[in-house]
Amino acid sequence: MTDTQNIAAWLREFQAIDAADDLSGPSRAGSELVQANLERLAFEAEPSAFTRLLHRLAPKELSDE
Amino acid sequence: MSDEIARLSLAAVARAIQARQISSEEATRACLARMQAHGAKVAAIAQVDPDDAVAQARAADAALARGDAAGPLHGVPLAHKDMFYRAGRISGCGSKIRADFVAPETGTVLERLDGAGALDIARLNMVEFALGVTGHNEVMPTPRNPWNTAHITGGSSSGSGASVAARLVFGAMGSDTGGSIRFPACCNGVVGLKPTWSRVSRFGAMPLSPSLDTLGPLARTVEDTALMFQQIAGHDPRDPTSSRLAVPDYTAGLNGDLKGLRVGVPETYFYDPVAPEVAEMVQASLDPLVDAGAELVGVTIPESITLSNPLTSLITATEGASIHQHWLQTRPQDYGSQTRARMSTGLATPATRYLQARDLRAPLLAEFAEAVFEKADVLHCPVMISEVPTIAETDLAANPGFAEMIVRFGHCTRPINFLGLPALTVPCGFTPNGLPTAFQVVARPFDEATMLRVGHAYQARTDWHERMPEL
Repeated sequence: MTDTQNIAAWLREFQAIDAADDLSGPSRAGSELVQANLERLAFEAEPSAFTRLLHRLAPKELSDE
Repeated sequence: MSDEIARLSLAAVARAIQARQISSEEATRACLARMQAHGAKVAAIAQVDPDDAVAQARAADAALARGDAAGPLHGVPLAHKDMFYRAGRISGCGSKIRADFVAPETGTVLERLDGAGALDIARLNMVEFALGVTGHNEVMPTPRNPWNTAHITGGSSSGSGASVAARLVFGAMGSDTGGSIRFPACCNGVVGLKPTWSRVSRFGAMPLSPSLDTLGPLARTVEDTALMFQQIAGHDPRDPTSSRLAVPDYTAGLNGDLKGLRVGVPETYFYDPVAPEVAEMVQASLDPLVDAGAELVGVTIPESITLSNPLTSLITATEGASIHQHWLQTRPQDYGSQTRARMSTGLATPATRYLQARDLRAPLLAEFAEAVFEKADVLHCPVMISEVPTIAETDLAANPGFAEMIVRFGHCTRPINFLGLPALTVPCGFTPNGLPTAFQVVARPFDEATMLRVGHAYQARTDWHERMPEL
């Protein structure tokens, strides 16, 4: 059994949640969308890329404190 | 006299206290009187200690008499969503699980508001662990909309929106992970500011999904909101993720003039599912902006924005599940069924998917910024896709099909969290069911000053923010 299957079994047994039902819909849909957009991810993606971009897009007059 | 004080804006009451035209004790007693008269009807207050509130106010008055005004919010009574920690006080987070949790230290936001002289007179009800947009709470009281108590307040900062609209306090802090400041601001007819991710320290506030969580104020006017925001923005060594960018003067640009400003009007995405009665009011709110000198610019939203709502769900569920796993396993019965279910689904997200979803934020933000902010200084768009519904209509247990609707509720707000951008909700009238609606102004990262300028120019030409619900 894979880790994912283990978790799905745990969700069924202890939380009465079927990972394939409606409640899982938003997470599942998100997962499928990621799969469909993998080509957008740069090989060099690293954790600070998003924060760095936020700061690069900030108004120029706001320099660091 | 008491109700006259409660009708004042936060800025007006702050000025009146500083000028010693009224005392902090009078302002606080005005709030307490309204809590006494209307608090039960709107169910916004989790806990209030009137004696402590009056003691805080008297201390503020005594300090002022000595010439020791602490700051621009000196003596102004506020109250906050019950997830902002204060040392020695319970922070219940709208839950049974944390109902007895006594915070070991005070969070940065409350410390900064304290430093500006504000009073903190009550804990406000909220959605359980801030996970939900309607305001429903299965395990603690669900606040009711002061404009019509059969209707939702929006969530998750449900008590914050309701208490400010009902004039129980002059301003309140909330949190926004997918719309939790902007929904209640919209539903209750008040202003709500969701800051750029990292602009405000999250130290000492309950986490839901740290990649998306932001903290911001709800108040009656844009000026009030700017005053509160001024105190809390800026780097905090206790939250190393908080930005080191300098904090500008947020009230400096509040002059009602938008000459030369380009306001983006979305030609795609944002209006797609919006009900005509809401769309009409949001579009009408552009007229006062043009009157103030703004230029309207049509903007095509990149198609990739459609990813951001479901990816926000994935990130929130996964980070929430990580934080809550221990309690989900040991105290599942103490969660509301919807909270437990939504949190638990995150346990099944593969780690690779979660990381890929997070890594998609940078390319999607780059696409959005190029499409929007190269043509416009701000984006103007709806907050909600429908009129404010009733509590009964949005009770998921009684309306199984509504689960999908809840996801659609996030159509206009969640993308903004995914992209980390700031947004300001400004009330712009009442829909045919008599409930408020609002528009939001979205700005480039860290440009909260410009969106406040836009919101203030709108309020300078309209009076929606001066209306008060009959309770």
